[in-house]
Amino acid sequence: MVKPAPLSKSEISASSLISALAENERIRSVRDSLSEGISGLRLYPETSLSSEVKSESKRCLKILHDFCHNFLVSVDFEKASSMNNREVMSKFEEEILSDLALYSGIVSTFSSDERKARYKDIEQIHELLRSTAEPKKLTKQEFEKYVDILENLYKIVESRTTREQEVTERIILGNNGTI
Amino acid sequence: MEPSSRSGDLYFEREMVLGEVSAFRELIKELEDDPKVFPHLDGFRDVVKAIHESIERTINNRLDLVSTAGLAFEEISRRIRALRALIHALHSFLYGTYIAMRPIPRQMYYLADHLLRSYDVKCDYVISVSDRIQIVSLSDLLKSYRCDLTYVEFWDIIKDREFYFVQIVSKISTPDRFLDWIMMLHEIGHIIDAEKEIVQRYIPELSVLDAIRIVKGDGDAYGTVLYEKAKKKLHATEFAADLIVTETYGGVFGWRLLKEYGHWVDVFEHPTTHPLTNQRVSIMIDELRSFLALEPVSRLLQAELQERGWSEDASAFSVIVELPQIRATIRTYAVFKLTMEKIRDELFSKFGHENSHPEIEDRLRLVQRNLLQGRPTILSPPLLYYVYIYGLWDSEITQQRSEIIQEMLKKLGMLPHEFEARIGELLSDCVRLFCVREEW
Repeated sequence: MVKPAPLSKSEISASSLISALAENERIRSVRDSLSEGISGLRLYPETSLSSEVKSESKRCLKILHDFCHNFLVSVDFEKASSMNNREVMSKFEEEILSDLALYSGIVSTFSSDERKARYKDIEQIHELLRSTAEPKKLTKQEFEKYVDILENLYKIVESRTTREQEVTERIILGNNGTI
Repeated sequence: MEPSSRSGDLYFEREMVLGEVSAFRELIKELEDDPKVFPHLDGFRDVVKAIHESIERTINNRLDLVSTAGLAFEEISRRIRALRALIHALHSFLYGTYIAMRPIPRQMYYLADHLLRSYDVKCDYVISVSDRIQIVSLSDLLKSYRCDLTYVEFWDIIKDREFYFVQIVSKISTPDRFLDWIMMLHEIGHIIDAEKEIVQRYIPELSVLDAIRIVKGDGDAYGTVLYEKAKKKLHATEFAADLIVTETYGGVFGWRLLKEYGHWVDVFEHPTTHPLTNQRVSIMIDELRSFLALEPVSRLLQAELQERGWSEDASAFSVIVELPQIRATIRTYAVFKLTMEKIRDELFSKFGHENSHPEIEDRLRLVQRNLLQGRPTILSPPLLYYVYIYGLWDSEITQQRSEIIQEMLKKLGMLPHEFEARIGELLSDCVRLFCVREEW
């Protein structure tokens, strides 16, 4: 009988599974928010929707609204942080915590400069979504511009997170992912 | 692409999703045909069935909604693929768990159940083999796939379903490694903490997943206040799980943690998700000394710390100001506390009523001798562990213990590690006997 091996540090220290779940949630939050959000926006100007599709559209637009909100908060929080404005920072901290996975996904996928560069565009979409009860009239041009902005963001997310997501999923599913 | 072929593609993608759903039926069939009969397998089968039924009830409606006219083909396809990936991942995780839970001996469940009962917690869980000792809940798993965004109908039905997946490493899954099973009980401590909402009550702001994201992410993105809060939450959760086991098992968990994990190098690591080992053990020592009246065991842990060049560090009390309340709450929930009084009561109810101090010591030595000589005894699991480590703080008792072991090694022609494995098997059988007696 061979002497039994003691537990190694990695076997007992930080949980890889829970870290992988946290990573998975972070990546999917930003990816799925954009995917659902784009669909919501596509249905936005449609008036002849069944009640079920209408509520689906509203749900997707709410997801898009939250995405835009977190996107803007990430820039505002950084600004407050650079000025060391504790009062403003703590206000934003509460907002960050409302969906931290989404916030984390946004700040880890887009650099600070990228977020600043898109701030105005996202602000416009955010403004549009504030009043989903009474939808604003959108010109075809505006509509296509917004969809383009979001599709571009989605492509960036996809290109930057696909590999990461595969690794994360492999940890969650172990070898069983291939079954 | 032609519209007709596009709709054909979508039909095909939709069928692929339904194919993933039907894979659940096969898993359920396997679970129903499994000859093993024990409550945890039933609980697992129930949760798999609940997940399958929830998907069956909602998937067609969801597929119809994502295929709404007016959406671009690529978007519909993307969302259908996301649904398929989600259902596939869920099935793979559950199937993988089913395969990996098969080698787990029943005694390990008895041990885990005993700790849960010691805190009056009833919950569904399974133990399976993985590459680490860890635990996740079903809701954490589902949240991580953002079912609330992509498959909201399913999420609404299943989100409150409570189920835990405890994972252990293969090398400690067998009865000969019984002494290491106490490490698994730390994970059960996390279940108890979650079910009783102990840490959550005093540090409510962050979920554990959020806290992990912050401490492992880019610190600047969250600011120092959130970073410190996240670290505090994670450390408090670890201390709570440690204290939950310590309350019921005395210092056995701390002793084993140091024996297996107490490498000097850890002291130089930056602690993020877990507190430093010497800080964890120091909190256990304080509990043993101040509340459980197990002074000798606390001395054993101190000696183990010193052997590794560590000193006691109770600074966690000042960093986590909620820690005294957390541990007071744990104490109030603990139905079974391994105090000297408890040890005395259990020994005397088993062996008779000679209520004097030397008598307890004699009893403990006798039971220990019997165990080391291969005779099983029916004692509660915490007392069984205590009997095993009894006297390691006393040179005279340690000497006697060594002599018995030497005798046995000679008699059986075994090496020390082979003997320890045999003792592990014996102790795990004792747990089985204890639980059978409790059940009947």
